[in-house]
Amino acid sequence: MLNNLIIADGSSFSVSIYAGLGLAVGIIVIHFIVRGVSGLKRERSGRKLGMIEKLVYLGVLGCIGALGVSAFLPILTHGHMTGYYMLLHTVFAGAFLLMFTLYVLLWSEDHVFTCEQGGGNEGEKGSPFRRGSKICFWIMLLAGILAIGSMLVNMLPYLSTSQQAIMIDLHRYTSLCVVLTGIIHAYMVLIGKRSAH
Amino acid sequence: MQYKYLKKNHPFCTLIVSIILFAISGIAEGATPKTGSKSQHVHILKLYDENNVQIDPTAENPKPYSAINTCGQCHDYEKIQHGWHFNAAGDAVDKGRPGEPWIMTDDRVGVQLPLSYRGWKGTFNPKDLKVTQWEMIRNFGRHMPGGGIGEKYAEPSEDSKWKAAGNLRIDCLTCHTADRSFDHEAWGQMIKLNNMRWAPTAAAGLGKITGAGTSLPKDADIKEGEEPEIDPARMPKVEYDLRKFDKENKVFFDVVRKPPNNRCFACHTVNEGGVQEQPKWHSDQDVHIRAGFSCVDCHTNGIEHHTVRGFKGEVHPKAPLQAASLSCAGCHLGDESEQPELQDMAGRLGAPKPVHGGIPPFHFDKLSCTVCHSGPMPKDKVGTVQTSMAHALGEVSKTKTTEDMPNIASPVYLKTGDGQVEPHRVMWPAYWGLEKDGKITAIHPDQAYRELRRVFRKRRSSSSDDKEEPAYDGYTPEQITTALETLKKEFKDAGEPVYIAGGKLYKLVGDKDEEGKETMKLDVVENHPASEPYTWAFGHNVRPARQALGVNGCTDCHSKDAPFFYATSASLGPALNDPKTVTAPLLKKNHEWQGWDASLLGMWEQSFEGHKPFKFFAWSVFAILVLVGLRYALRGLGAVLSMSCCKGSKCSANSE
Repeated sequence: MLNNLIIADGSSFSVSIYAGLGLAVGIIVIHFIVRGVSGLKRERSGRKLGMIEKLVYLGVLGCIGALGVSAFLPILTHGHMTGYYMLLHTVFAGAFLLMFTLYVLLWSEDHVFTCEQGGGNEGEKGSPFRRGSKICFWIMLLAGILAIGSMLVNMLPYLSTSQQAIMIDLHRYTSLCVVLTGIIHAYMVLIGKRSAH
Repeated sequence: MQYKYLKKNHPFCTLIVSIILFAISGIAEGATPKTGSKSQHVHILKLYDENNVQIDPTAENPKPYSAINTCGQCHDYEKIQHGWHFNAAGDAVDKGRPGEPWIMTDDRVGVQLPLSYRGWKGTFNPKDLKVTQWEMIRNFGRHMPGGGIGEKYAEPSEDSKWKAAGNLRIDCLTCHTADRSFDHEAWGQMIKLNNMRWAPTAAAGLGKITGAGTSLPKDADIKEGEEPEIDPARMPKVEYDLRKFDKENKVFFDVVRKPPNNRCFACHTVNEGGVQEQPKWHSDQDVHIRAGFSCVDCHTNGIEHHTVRGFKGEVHPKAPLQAASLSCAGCHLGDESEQPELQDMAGRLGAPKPVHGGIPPFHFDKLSCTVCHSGPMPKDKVGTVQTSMAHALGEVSKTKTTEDMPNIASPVYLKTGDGQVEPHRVMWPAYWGLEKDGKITAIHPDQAYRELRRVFRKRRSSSSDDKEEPAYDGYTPEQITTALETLKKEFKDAGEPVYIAGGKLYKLVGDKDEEGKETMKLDVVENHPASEPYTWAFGHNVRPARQALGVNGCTDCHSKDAPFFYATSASLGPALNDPKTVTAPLLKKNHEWQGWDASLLGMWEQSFEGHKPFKFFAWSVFAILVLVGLRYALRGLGAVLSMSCCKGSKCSANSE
């Protein structure tokens, strides 16, 4: 059962990687086209991000990139992670843990939904982020907690092999979710907050 | 009317009735009688000789009993004789996973050759080496149950004395007796004396055997079914123990369907040596044995005697599913293959399902169950083993030591064909050979001895008759050089003589001395393909969970100098093994056997050194993340609940 689970999931997860990346790129391309057609222009609003916030964000993106490559590349090529890829993955996992926590602490307040977006207000200075960014952020946080938690639980000597296999699956898919929402979020941040002029 | 019909068709009816009667009698004759009970049938049997004549123990010069003909009165010998224990030389036999070979050892000329008819990679087929079946039986019949090359495939050869000694037929009692007086050593002694056909009688203790086939002339012929043509006075004789016979000349045999462990151990004992050596009373044996299992509970078979070997991926000719369910994973997990039926067969014999708490699952793809659970706990140096088959355990000797040849290293952890690491036993072949056109052919040890006896002999000065005898205490480079020169003179154009031992190939190459004179010097090639070790995986003894590798955590393996990766094995062979000379053994660490990158392992080990602080850090940071997430989740929930008041400039839920 365990072998079946892992092997079957290994191949199906490869499909999920391709599908997820395709979906993320698709969303970005469509958004970009729609934005161009509808003549949306850049609008700077809300407070400016500080240097530390930007560095932390770059750190998170870097870690997500490294983790994604070290995980997806061996899975897509060999069907599983092993050797230096695994080592790289665990090294960046530690860095990601730290950067992600800082990122959440520094960026979460700016990602609170405003009344217009269906949530609370955005304070005096206002949020520099659009609704799409905020959705991505909160999904990323939830997925990140699950991805990190599933691995931390696996490090405890309590779960059986089959339970660990479930946790690994959870880790895989939530991590994929973190990567995809991270990509979309980065795109949103890059294009900034824009509105019809 | 019916009567008339029958009368009218009398010849036809007679024919029909005859056919039915014939068929019934045929079925009855071919069928094996059964009791149908799980209770053991009491075997009080008449004894039959090899001519299928009942034995009268009081007769003058009675013949030895034949296990085939005695047991074969009821049991189907034809089916039995193709089983795994007998079929090595058969042509259409699946060779299966490499197993322990027969190791031909000759310490007179420093030879240890792994032999097998099964074609396992790294073994030598006795036929290629011109080792006759007679020799094989003479050398190894002591730990064979008879049959196979001793009988069915026995071929006449120049050196054989089959006609006088008789074939070594299957002795059912070798495995199926519960009688503790069954003497396996006597079986071996009979074979040494060329008393093959007397071996079952001697081993069963049915009588006393006097005389030896070795004293019979080479062309002596005792044809089966005929009276011997040679002088009966020179023939081996059996004097039956009449106390064992009843009034009808029947004998009680304590026969059991399931062979007791004691019988299996006669040929399958393994003793740890070297750094792993420990007194017998320190050993706990296999956990399954301690739990009350018999070897044959797992290594079972039907009447065809295709014994389940119990390894992953075994192709069993009769019951593949049944065999798969008896491997470690098959029994304890039921998940070894894609066969869903195996799931339902898991837990056989009360096998508990292991939790393996905290062990990352990919370990079970990389490692076999036996890595953590079998053999002795690995130490910084790889130990040695002595086995019944290789070291003739079971024969009483005062000179046996745990250093006796052949050298077998164990446990060495290396990868098998499917990429999984398994504990193995390793032996480095040692032999004299001839290299021609890049191909090396081994020289038969006896032939090597004939040529090299003068090179290796040593005078025994303490002996009154100044007798010379070859001495083996590890060959020096000088001795090897002289031996190769001797062989070169003898074999001339047949090829360049080489000596292979301890993972090295020794040969002579042209050189010039200080005066510029043509001379030969010893050249050593390390890791030559012909000197590669033969390895075979093993599964026993199984240790319980609390004695498994990894029970103390990841650092059992993932730490600096952990034996699983860093235990060193030395390519010990019959050469001197002196680190100061070219005979120095090759040293190899387990991770090199497994093909792991040492720098990668080093980095992993470093990462595990900081494992505990990292866990503390990770859990702390994770707690912060969860708290932050919870805070905003509650805030969001509050906002959603108070959505109705979110019409003005401020939301109540967000007012803080």
